[in-house]
Amino acid sequence: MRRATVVAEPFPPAPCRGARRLLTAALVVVLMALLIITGATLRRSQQTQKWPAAFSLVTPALWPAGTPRRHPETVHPGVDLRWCAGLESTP
Amino acid sequence: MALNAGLACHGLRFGWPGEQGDDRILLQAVTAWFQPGRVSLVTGATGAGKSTLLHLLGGLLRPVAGEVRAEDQPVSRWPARHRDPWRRRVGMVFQHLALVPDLSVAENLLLPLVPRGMKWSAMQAAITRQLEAVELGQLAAKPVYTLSGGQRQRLAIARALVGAPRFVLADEPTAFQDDRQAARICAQMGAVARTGVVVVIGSHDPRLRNASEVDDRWHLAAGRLTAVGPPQAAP
Amino acid sequence: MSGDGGPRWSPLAVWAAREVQREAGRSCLLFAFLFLLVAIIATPMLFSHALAVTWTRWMEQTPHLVVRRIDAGGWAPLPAEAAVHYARKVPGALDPTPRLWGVATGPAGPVTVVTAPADLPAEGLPGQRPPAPGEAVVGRAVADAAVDNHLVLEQMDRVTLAIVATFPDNSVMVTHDLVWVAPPDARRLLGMLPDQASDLAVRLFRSESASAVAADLAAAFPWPVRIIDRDTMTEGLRRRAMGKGVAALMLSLPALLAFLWVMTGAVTGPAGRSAYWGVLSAMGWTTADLVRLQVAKALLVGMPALAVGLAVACGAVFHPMAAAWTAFLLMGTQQLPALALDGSGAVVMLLQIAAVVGLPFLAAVFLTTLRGVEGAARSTMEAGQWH
Repeated sequence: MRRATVVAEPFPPAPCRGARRLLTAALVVVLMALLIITGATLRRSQQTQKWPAAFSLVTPALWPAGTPRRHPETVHPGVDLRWCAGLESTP
Repeated sequence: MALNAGLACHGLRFGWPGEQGDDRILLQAVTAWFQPGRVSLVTGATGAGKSTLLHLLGGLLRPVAGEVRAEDQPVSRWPARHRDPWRRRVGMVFQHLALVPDLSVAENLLLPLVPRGMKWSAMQAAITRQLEAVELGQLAAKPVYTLSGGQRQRLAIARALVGAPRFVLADEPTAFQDDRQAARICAQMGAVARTGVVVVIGSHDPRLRNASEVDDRWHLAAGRLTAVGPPQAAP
Repeated sequence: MSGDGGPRWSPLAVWAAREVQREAGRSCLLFAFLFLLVAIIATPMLFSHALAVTWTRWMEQTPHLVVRRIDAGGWAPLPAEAAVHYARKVPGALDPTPRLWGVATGPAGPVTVVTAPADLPAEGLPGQRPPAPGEAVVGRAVADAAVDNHLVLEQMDRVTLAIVATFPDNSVMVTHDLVWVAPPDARRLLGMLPDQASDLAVRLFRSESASAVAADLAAAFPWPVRIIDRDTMTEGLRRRAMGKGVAALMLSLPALLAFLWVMTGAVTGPAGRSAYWGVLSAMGWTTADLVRLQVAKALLVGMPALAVGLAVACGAVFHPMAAAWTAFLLMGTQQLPALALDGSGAVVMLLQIAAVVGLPFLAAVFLTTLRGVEGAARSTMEAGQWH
């Protein structure tokens, strides 16, 4: 008895599935990145604004204590910093 | 049949630039009319200029003198911005095939369809039809570099026909084919021509010279094209 | 319909993606390069911008003027009551508040000693009473350096304090190095008598009148004083912040532009491209189609690279821990709190950065393609690839 083997032809023949996945992935990456960017740039600092007022501070604590940048109120052109409390080592 | 139909050339002259600055004239005063609905065969010795003539007819090269008219439009005089989209109406089988080897068989057929604004499903249907016509349906997903020479040539024919062109220009389309496939390609070209398409084949394959599907025969020698058999009047 | 589900993409977009796949190595290289380029440019600019915005907001809460008594030896403590009395006589000067503060040496270096906040933020330390003598509320850096919850500070005297609380993490930009102590402890530590203050904080009715009020204040006190105003400090901080960003950008820009040029050339003009374009042209692709294809490819690689680069820059600037590292790299500051920077207004800057990188890239792709497409159809016959 003869048997006929039918091999189905692929359809669609040129699906370009990888390319479609790449497009989708690119879109997802862009959207996620935009979400992160939007979230980051629209947010205000969580830092409560009342802390500087609470202690009447004039600069943020970005520089080490004891330096003129941290305590600009201690700096004066006519004042020798070697005699200022805590500022002895400041150049 | 309307006299302005088909593909015609008038006083076509072309030469490649020579090393000494003088042009090596390949075609001079070529005048011919390739009618729609008929298969025209251009024969000639190697180097006679068959491929160059086909490239001139397909708008890939500009003649030094004379003009090519397609459906009475002077396409050879058109600027690139008009001639490039016109080429969508031309299906060309290159002698060197010019397939993209790392793409799949079906993806090579996608190339001419992408800029046409067709629907994706229509593209896929057209590709399936052409692959079946050239007996490559089972190889659709294979990369081209895995195909034999004959299969590649059939793929090149399928690529030329997939966009349903008005003008088919085939350069040695049976060079790598066995007799059965050569006969099938002849029949395919004949069937395409019967739908009102202009089919011009450049070949020196004796199997084509003797094929019953060929309606008009031309011979290219010494830069001149002459009709073999009953002469065709230019429109 | 796409044929296999999923979003409906235009055939040109699908083909652009297919070509990106074909050139996977080159595309990955381009992605990495663009991503790094954007991240390197965006991070310092975004950081300096965010720092300037944060500082400006922060400075709005600080006193308009600080009056400090000086003498030949440096600064001198001022009598608190007398200072307030003199300051109140000056029109426009509001709420003169004596500040008792100073710098002392802690176990890990100098710390800022403060006393008696006027009004603690309600959400800061709920239920926290001011520290009693012998107690301290400390910032994060001080707490980390403390041993057995005790702190030894030295200045004019040596004081041992028990740490009763730590300032909350969301105040770290202010309280990083603070030690809040009871006034008697502060006086002992800083060598000040009762009723003496370190300086006087003054608020103004109108901030524009700072220079005029400062002159009146200087004349009102019977001792020489040094007065600093908030606007000058704000401007100085803002300039310092922006200067750091611009300096970092200027240092990296020439090398980055050179990379951009080389990479764009490498990506858009590989060998054999002309022959491939020739075949496409022979099949009816117009110059506009080829340019669209190349631009679509560039966008497919460039857009995610730009977006990810900007997102990474945002992370490096706005994530508190990452921001500290970014500040360390850009500003060279050793003891940094976890910065909580304000992102307001950064969108315009991000768009500018995207344009600075994206537009030259797209222009290079566009122009290189136009140049390559010229004579593409003819190259079909001449290109050696097909022979």
